[in-house]
Amino acid sequence: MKPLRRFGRETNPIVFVILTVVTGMSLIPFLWVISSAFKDNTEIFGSMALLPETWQWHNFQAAWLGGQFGRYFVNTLIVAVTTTLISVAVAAPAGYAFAKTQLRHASALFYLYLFGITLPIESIIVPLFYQIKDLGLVDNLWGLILALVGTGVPFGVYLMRSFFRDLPDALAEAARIDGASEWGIFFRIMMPLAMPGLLALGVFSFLSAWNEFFFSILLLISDDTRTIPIGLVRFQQQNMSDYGALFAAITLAIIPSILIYVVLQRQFISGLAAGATKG
Amino acid sequence: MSLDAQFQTPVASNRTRRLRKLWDAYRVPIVLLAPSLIFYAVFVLMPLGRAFQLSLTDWDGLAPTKNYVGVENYTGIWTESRFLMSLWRNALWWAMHVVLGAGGGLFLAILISEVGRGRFLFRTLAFFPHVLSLAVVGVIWGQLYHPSIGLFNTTLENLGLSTLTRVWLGDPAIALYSVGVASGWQAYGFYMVIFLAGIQSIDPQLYEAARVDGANAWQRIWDITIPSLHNTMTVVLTLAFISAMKGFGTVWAMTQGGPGYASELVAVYVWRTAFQSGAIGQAAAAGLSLALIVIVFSYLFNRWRDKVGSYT
Repeated sequence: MKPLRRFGRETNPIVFVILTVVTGMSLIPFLWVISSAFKDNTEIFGSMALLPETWQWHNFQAAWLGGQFGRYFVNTLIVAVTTTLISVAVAAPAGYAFAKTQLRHASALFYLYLFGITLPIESIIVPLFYQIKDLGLVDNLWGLILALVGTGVPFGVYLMRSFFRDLPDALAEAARIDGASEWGIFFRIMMPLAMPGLLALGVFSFLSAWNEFFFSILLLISDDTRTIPIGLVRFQQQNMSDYGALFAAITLAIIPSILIYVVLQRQFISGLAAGATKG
Repeated sequence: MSLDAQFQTPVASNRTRRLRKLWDAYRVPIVLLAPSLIFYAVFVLMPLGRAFQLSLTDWDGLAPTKNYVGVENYTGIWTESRFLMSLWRNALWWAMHVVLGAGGGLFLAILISEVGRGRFLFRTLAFFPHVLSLAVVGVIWGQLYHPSIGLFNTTLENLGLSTLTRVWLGDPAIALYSVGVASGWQAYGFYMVIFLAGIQSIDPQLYEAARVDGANAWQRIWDITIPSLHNTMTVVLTLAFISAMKGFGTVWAMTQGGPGYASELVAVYVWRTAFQSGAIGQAAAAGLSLALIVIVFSYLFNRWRDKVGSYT
């Protein structure tokens, strides 16, 4: 993404105030959850103070142990990493094929992929479930991983095609004249050049898989396969009365997402923007 | 290469030879494309075909046989008030999504683009809600709306407005809107980022010219930024439509479509009909109806926007 451009050196103070208030309001739910995570039930029911009177660290202990969050964390990490690696490995060559090989004119085939972006996956969840069941992958992390890769293919290919299309043809031509094979051109020249695109797709796949909820509800049944989103919902159902522990559990679920985003936001944002604006 | 092949296999039929020729010409792209096509076929295209098959049967998910019933499932749901109401709720949901999500995103993007120092920080912070899982959003807002400990009701009580307190998620009259607000909170960051990218690609000379002409901030936004975002707007409205029609996660985490059917969107209807009532054929028909609506509307909308033309 291009560096953020400035219109003027001075910010209009009114704009600044409005923006601060709006952004602040949007962040209130975070502050409320985190502050409540340190309170006991009496205080949660009785006070609106931002800071707890006594810091109830044991809420986190209750959440961590009661909810098996360690397990959920590991499962989520496995799903996110595997999904990311396979997605990039599958989408990058296909994107390249549509951008730089004879297939660049195969518009009918490409439209088949575009169709997959528009098709709401929610509308075919019923047969998709039976498809995964036939593969014997219900209540198995692989079922979720493969479903995520498969349903993510259209967008991934579309995004990679956009990135490969922006690369100059001259380099590939020069390599071809020097006697490089088509595979050599793809792996040695084009892939390294497309690294920003690969990263963008990778970060996007990682966060989508990390947050996945829709398939998980259906596919992750036992405690051993639960990921953080499913585990949190489950924890809420089981701990209707211990609010402090619930807020601690929500905080535990929030932290990794925020950390991942803050560290990788450049790639993530550029992936989002490219996916939406590149033709 | 292909000439050699002809000489080496003089007995080969015309068809094999043509296949061989095709393979020689397209070997590289075919191998590059194959993995994606296999994944796409197994997890999207085949289920789509199967959805169509299932939608013509009365299967309950358990019975060993599936009886062909023709279009009965389609006529059934399109005359069933529960399904039609879920469509109507989806239209309301879409409106909320456009106003709160896309509208909120545009508002913030314009403000952020007007900021000199600190723009990056604002973008980062304003995007926070969008990085959460819909499950986490649902659980957080479920607590914000909690009748006794929730932030909404406690704030209203402390302000002396206890008549305005509600059972936000338990009252059928407002449950859908309560969930819609939570969903808008999660969504606006996405549209904000897309609008920001669109604003950055506007030619800076337009703003320079406006400055020379003495345009104020309001005129700058209204006469340059908004019209220049025509294409971005098309993309955002299309994405917002698709995303709203897919609405499921926040609803599921907060109300599961309840109370009763009060917050049941089409995707929730499909889910409940299939996995709770076991009416697989009916659910498949409803799912395909949803898919058709989304694809046809997205296509028509984009054609119309292309015709209306672009300023950029």
